Amino acid sequence: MLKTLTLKSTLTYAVLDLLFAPFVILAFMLLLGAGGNTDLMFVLIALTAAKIAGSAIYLNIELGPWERFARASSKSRSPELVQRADRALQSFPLRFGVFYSLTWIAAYGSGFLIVKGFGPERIPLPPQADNAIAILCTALLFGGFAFGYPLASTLTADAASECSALARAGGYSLDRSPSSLQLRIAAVAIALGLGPMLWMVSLGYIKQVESSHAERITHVGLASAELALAIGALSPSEGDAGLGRVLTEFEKRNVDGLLLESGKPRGSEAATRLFAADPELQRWLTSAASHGDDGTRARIDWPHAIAFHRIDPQRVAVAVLRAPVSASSSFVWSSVVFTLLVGVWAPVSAYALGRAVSRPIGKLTAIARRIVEQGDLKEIGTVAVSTNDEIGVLTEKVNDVLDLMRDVSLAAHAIAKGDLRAIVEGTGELPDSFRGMLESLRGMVQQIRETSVELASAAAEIFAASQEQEAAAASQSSAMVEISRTMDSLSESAAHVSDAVQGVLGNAERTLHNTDDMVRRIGELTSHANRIGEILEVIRDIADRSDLLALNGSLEASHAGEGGRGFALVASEMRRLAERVTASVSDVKKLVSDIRDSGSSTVMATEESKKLAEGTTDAARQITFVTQQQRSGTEQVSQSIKGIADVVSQAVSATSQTRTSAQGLKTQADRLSSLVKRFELTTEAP
Amino acid sequence: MQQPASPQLAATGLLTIRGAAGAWGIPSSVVQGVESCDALGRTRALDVQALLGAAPTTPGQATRIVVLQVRGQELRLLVHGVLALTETASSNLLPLPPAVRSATPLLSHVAVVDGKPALFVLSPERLLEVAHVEDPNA
Repeated sequence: MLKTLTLKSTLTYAVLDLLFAPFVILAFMLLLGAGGNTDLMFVLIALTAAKIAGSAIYLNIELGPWERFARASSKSRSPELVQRADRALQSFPLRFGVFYSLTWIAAYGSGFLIVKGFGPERIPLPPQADNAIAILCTALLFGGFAFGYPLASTLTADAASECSALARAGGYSLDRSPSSLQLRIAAVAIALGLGPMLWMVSLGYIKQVESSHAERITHVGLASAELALAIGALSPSEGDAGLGRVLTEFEKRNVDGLLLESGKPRGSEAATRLFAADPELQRWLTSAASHGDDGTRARIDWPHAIAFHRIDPQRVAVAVLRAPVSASSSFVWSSVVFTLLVGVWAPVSAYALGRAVSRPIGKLTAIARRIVEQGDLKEIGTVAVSTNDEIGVLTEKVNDVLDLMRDVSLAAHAIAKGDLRAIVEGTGELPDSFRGMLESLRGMVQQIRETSVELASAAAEIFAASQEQEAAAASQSSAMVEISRTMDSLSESAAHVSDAVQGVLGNAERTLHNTDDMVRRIGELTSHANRIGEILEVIRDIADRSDLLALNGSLEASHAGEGGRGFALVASEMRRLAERVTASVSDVKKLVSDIRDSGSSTVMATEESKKLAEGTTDAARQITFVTQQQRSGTEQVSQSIKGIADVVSQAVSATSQTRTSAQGLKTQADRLSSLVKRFELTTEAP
Repeated sequence: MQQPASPQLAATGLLTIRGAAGAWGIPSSVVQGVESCDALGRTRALDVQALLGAAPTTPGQATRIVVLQVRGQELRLLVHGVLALTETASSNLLPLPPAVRSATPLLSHVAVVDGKPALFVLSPERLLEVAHVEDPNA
């Protein structure tokens, strides 16, 4: 698998050269009459190799833009790169066809010059060899073009198609010059006609020259034999006069006669001069005559041929034929005529053939252009089919496509008028897709009908709802304004509350201070009461002891009898006093206990009051803080309410617009419904 | 065992004790003195209230130690209540029936006040016996 187009082309043309080169070399060597010359063969092989190398270099240069494009990644294939590659591919066939032809001329023209450089002694060339080589090179020019140009077009077709596809996918067009298929066919036809024709002409021409050379050798041999007979028939009496008469007869036939008698020449003046001028000829004649009775000496590049014939042992007749080798005029004229005929006939035939091919294609192209540019399928009609070849088949298929497009166009026209009952016949992707589209369209129209009814209903509902919403929004707007006022009032109230709470906080702090003072004083009172209790205990102890003393006194008094009666009375009175003191102390202790209990209760109550006062202080502080926050929050809420009021106002406006839009939507839905009713579906009566 | 007959009391003076456990008396003739209960820690004393079957006496403000002189021996009684000296006629001291006396050997008489039995009178001798029983060294 050849990786690059350049390599593929190089190898293709190399193979082509290697296939044709042996034939061309053989023809070339035969043409020059150098069939056994190996030096010339190697020279021509080397020139062929150089030709292949030159073609490879030129291919590398010409196809360079394409190879850069092919090597580039998909992302870096810019339109400029594609354009350059395509431009190279488009110009490649003609340029390389011409180049390829010229390489043939260059190779074998150089070969001919080299052969001429060898010299006539090594390779004697016919006098008309230049003409033959010129014709052969012209034949190679046309033949090379006939092979090189179509092959180059074939080799680059896929690459050019890739460029075209890439450009179409990229959405840009390629800068391709318009070209004529007919012209290309004509050029190839001329080349194909003239190439082989001139090839044969060149070979025929050189064969004519060689035949002329052989004929000249035969002619001069015969002339020498005739001259020997004529001279041998002369009587000795006729002397030089008879010899002069015979030689004059031969001069009329372009043969200069000469009698060599005992090594001394005697004859026509021209022959004598020739012998005098060419000592080599004289030596050859002397040598050949001494070895044989007759002989011929001629070279294709000489303008004359020489032959001798022995008359008797002392005399040899020598004939010099003054006739250079040449092709026959009839061959030359017939070649010219045929070349001209082919030169004229080939373009005419190529024009006719190209026209036979390009005319239907041109018609099809014009139709395609009309379809694309004007789209008038009705007026295009049917394309006439004149042949049954590929063009005819193509035309038939184009007619089928036109029929299909007309059907589709008619269906599309009917659809455009709202008739969805159209039927598209035919098979294939397009009619199938169109039928699918039509079916989808029917379903869609049906859905639009249903949807338009629902839309109208929904629009009416939206209209009614938007009216209600508008009223509600207006009410909300009023409410928002009222709330805003209320929030302003609330903010002022919060400010008043904050001030009042500040007063409460001051009172609570004073109460807390007073409570602390009271607790301290109650503590002092409790301490005093405890002191009183201690004193009362002392008094009670004293009274108890007094009671005990009084009791013992009474006992003593009772032991004393009558004498102690008075003392008993005192003791008794003393006991009553002690009991009263004890009772009073008990009462006072109870009072003190009550005072202490009261003090404790008061302390507890005061502690409660203190806690309450502290709670009140904290609460007042919190109330102050909360009130301030409430005031700030109320102000923020007030601002928010004002914002909401604005939004609600905007909502009122928007709702009004919605109502208007809904009204418009209903109008549009009704209009859509009426529009959709234009479409006629297969499911409904027409 | 037959209880000895209660001797006729010559004195009519009584030291009465009225407390929560009841009211009872003791002839003032055997009472040598009354002390506060501060001296309780230094000497032993019979808890009369406990002997009479009531709750034992808890020393407090109304607790006294009554010092008796019985048969030449000192006897200390722990009493609780209001102490008072009273005079009563001998006829108002009624001896207890034998059955009661056998059941309550510490009591010797019932004192009648204003024609009604008002309090029991303790027998100093029996108290002395009880004191000897409880403390042979007493």
